[in-house]
Amino acid sequence: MNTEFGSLNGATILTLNGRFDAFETAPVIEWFDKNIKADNAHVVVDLSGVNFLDSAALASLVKGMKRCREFQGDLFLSGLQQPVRIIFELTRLDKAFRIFTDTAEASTSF
Amino acid sequence: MYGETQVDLATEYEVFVHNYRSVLESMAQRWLLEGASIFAVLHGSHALYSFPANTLPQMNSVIIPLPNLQWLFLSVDIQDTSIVRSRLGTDALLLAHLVTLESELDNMTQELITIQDQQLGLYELNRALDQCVELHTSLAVIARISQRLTNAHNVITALQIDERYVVEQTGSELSPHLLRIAFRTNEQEGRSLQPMLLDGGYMLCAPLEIQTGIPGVIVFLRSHEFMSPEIKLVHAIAEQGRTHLRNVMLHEEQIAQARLQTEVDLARRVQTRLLPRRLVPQTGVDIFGASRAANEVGGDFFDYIVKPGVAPLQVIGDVAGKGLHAAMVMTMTRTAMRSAICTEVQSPADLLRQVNVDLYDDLTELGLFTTAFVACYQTSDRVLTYANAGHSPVVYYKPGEGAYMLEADATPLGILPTCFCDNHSLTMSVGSILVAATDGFVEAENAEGVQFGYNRFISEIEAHAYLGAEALTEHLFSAVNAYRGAMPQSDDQTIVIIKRTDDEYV
Repeated sequence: MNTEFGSLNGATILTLNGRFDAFETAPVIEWFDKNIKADNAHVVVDLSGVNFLDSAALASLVKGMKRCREFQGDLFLSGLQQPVRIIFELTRLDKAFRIFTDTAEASTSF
Repeated sequence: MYGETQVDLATEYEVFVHNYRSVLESMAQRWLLEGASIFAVLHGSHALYSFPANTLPQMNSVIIPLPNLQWLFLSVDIQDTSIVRSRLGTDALLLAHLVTLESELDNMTQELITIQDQQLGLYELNRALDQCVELHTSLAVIARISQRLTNAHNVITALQIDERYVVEQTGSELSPHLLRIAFRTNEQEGRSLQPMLLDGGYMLCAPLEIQTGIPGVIVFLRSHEFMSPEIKLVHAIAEQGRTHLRNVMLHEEQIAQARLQTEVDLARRVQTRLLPRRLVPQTGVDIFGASRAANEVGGDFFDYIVKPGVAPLQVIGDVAGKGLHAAMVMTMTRTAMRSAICTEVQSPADLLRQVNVDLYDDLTELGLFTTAFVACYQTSDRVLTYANAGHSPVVYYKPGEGAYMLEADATPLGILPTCFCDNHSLTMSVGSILVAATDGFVEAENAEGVQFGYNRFISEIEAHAYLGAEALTEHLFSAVNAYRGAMPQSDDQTIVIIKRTDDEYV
């Protein structure tokens, strides 16, 4: 899985591409642990390039979200593909995360 | 004779004279019969041999050099004629030939002895390495024995594993600089070995690479140059070293794997023991549950909770992820569920809310969450109450109406500090079935990579709704296994079925 970092409107944009499963979670978790601080706790995870997500990947996003909220920030998701959206709806994780279609819109919604 | 010193030559010739004394004597006697007075073999001006003994050639003796041999002459005290010169020349040729042959024989014998020594040395190395099962000792043994075999004044063996170096040396001169040069020499020159001049001494390196990604080198330091047979020996030592180190690493990997497998087996056994054994029968419903583990230890669980004063509950859930972490959280969750049931906490939603509170901090710490579905059937009013925290698939079948998915209304446990789930009720008519299962059913893939899916799962239930709980369970397992075909089971499969029967059924 490919990971790219950028920023937009003061928020960090994490763009993921490919298959997000248990093997890909370690660097993501590490990034959140190292980079989320008081002045940098707004993150949008752009999942438009992700075609598959397993429970370990979901757990890593939850961990990231909790860390952001710990520092008075938040983690939003954007661009969910249909199969991924279904996973979120079945587990009701669409209630735990704010989900946007558009990354730019997400970045201004903090 | 190339490269030998004057002193060596003198000794060699003296030995030759000694060995061939009888040949020289018969040669000398023949000359004396011809009328010569003295026959001698000279090395420069020094008489190596003379006949009669202890005589010295005179000024007017005939002298012929032995061809291709430095400073060696035949001298005969006789009248100088062309015939004399011709005969003496022949003798000289013959003797020179003998000397050369003798010298070659000597060299070959020396080489054979050296080779035999080296073979004994390699054999000794082999024997010593047989006793070593660990990297450090192996490297130390290789260094020590190699030093003795080559008379090097320091031998260094080194491996580069990830970022660090594992090093053994017989001397004490190793510097990081030297080590870097040694490794770079290996990289650049591939497997060829070349002696190198370094600070006045000679350094010879050979690769000890165990496998790609673990480069290694053996370094010999000596004050005099390494000759070709020694380079061959170093090559042989490196070859043997590599094979042995490869075996040591394989051995260590196998032990680590076996240890891990034992832990996994232990975890699986704990999990299996904790699965519910006996179902306390409830009037009006036929309940059955089962779990089939995949190869890796997983996070699926199901349980029957029976406590006095409380209607029995059926629970099923799935911890995010696989492996030992998930398995441990699964056992935590199971315990939390059982502890939370008391008179204040009875309904499924109460239970889930309480367990979420109990587990939230630990789950956050571990970075995990777990889905959970709790059902409770009240015989008195035939109502099934349930609460669902993020779990799927849960399917409800009503006779005459077909089967449909019951969706979760709350996130899994451990995501939010509060679990916002509600109790839902279903009045179960005879023949209604609740099937709560885990991902392992719907996500099973066939050889083409297509999942079994929710639709197929629902269809199978509808088509076989006439079966009892246990028979339906068996059927669903078979259906998924048949669909998967030869593909291995990648996820645990857990299922709980609650079927409404007529009131007399116990």
